[in-house]
Amino acid sequence: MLIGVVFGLLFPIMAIIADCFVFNNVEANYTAVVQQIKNNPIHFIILTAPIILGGTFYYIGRFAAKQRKSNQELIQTNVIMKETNELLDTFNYHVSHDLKNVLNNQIVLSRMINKYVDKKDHDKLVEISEKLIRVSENGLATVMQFLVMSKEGYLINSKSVEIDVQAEMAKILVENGCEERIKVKFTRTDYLTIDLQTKVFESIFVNLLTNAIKYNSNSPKVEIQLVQTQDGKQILFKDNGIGIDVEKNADKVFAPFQRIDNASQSEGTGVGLFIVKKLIQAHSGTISVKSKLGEGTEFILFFPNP
Amino acid sequence: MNQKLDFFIIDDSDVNNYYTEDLLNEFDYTNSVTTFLKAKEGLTELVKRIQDKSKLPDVVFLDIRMPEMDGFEFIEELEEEIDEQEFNVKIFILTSSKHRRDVEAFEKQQIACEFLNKPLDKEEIMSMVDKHFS
Repeated sequence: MLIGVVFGLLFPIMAIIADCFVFNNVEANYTAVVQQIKNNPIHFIILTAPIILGGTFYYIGRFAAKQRKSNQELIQTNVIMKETNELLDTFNYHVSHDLKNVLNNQIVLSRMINKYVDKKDHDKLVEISEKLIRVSENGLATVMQFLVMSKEGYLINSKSVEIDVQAEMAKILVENGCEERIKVKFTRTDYLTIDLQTKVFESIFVNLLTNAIKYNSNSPKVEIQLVQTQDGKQILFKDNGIGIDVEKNADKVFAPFQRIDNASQSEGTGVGLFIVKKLIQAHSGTISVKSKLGEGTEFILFFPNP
Repeated sequence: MNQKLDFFIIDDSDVNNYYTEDLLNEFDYTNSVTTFLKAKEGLTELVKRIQDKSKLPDVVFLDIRMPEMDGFEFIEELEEEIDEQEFNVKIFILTSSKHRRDVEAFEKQQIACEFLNKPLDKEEIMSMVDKHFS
């Protein structure tokens, strides 16, 4: 390449020297040489050639590079589309399955109510209607989760606001009817506010709080620590639930449509923590988990400084 | 029908088990109903009974989508434990799915003989029992 450029640039000079001093006997002064160049139009062609050719090759090269780049982008988009498609297909499979299950459960329990109304079995009716309520509540939660999941793309594009963590948490508890079902205590507050989208904040903590309630056999309690670090803001969220065997389920905790062994007794779709992770990642944040079976679960959320 | 039947239900949905058990108990020919919330537990019990040569259930209602081990994994593992010629347990898939993936997987395997959709009703159970046990 370099040799080519040097040769290209030297060629016109060599041609002038050859024309003036080798083929013709021109005097070695400026005026004479200029006169000789003027007399021989080939020099104009030779002199402009490097500029025209260089320019042409430069543009061809740039065009090729651009093409190559857009090809790579196309391939990349294709891969992403393929992954998205597969995820959508799986999503569709699970959504239809989970929703059908909810509706089927409602149908069969309603049928049983009919049967036991005829038999006038009051105790059985109470038992069935309790199950029916539970199934319907879970159904609603399932729908809400799927809605959040499909809205996730939209959420990522909206704006962050300054959120008062403790006030917002209290609001979430009330709005979701959880304030009597779980005790939430802030044991450390290095900071009071965090920049997030309200909906994202709500989705994250509704998921974590409902998990803390659902996977608990005693009285659910959560301890929250707001820790300021040099790089950003940490939220430590520790519950007193049944815990997770983290070593055994390392890849399952945040994966979509996964239910963990000791969680499979409770109803659920297995998308909650997947959504939480996605939302946090959309804010360049991270989430990790520390837990032992029977000893509660601690989620460590981290949002880097903007 | 004179024969008395023993049923297994393997499904992670406790509501479905509650309902199906209640339905089966309406029939005179029902001898016992045992429910399992995990496929693995159902499999362990079946394998234990095969090894002990004790009485196997006559019918197993098997759900497909379950955590840990799903219905088709259950079938695969069971296949390794049994002699298909001698194995006389009727396995009915019982699922809310009509998805192509599941129907194809059902057609590929040899052990389960029916593909039933939830919710199951009385008439359907009666016709299935008639078909396989009369």
